[in-house]
Amino acid sequence: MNCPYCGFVNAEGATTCASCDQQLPAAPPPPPAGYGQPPAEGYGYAPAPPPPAPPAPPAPPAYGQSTYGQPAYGQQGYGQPSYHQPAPIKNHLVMAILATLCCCVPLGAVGIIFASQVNSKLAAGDIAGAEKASKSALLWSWLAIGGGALIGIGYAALVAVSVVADSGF
Amino acid sequence: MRSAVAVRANAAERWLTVVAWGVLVVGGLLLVTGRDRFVPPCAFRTLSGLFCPGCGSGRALVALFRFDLPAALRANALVVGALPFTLAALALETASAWGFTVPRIGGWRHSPTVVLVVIIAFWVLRNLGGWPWELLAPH
Repeated sequence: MNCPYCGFVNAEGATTCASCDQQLPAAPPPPPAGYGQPPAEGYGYAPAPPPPAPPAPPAPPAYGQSTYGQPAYGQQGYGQPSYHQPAPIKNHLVMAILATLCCCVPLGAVGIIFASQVNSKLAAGDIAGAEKASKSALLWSWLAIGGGALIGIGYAALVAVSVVADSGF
Repeated sequence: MRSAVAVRANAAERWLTVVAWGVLVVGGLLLVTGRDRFVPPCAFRTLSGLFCPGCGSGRALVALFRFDLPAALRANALVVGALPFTLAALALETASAWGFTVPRIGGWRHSPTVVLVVIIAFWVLRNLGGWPWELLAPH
């Protein structure tokens, strides 16, 4: 079943997620286990609507991605909100958006497409593919933002030169 | 484990945040001091005659600097709407790239897809012309 925390696809019948070690809910469809409450089952009444699913906690740090010196294990106890954990594999969506709106639409859009691939591959459990897509998203944002900055600097320099030339120096 | 690849990706992330803030600050200064003179025109608009999703963002930012929200919305409503979120997200991204632990954002599975669809929809709609789509084009 899909882990409600990180999206990792686990074997049927697994009780803990093989990717993030969170306890998996017993019955599909999994109610998001909220901030630490075990799934309300067998109480004989309909459980209250579950709170919004917590942001996915990071995958284990063993995939070569920097965890900024903060081990994720041992800190994800129940009842502890997981959103203070850094993202394990970034999709660089912000940079791609910035590139699209400020610098270059086609290159930035490629960055957004790779950002979306990061998320879909993470959800499918394809960690290596997600890391690859993450690197591509970063690369295309660099091409768009860095290239846009270079072109802008060159243009402003040309204008400045022509302004100086026109002023008679 | 910090492999060499991870460290290199980290450096690329950090420098990209520096370049991104530089583009924002220098671009903002150029916009305010002399938009018509120093900021290159949109290549897509020059080549095709159509509006790109970012067309009008320069005018929108200049209008925002003057606290003229209606004029900013007329120039590029998408950029005005996305600006606060983008700046906040960029600040968080920067903090994260430089090693600070920040709340996770953009964790929702479909956020990149939604962003892409919104941008492309804005791109198409603002080029349709006629009411109400002309409101999305710079005017």
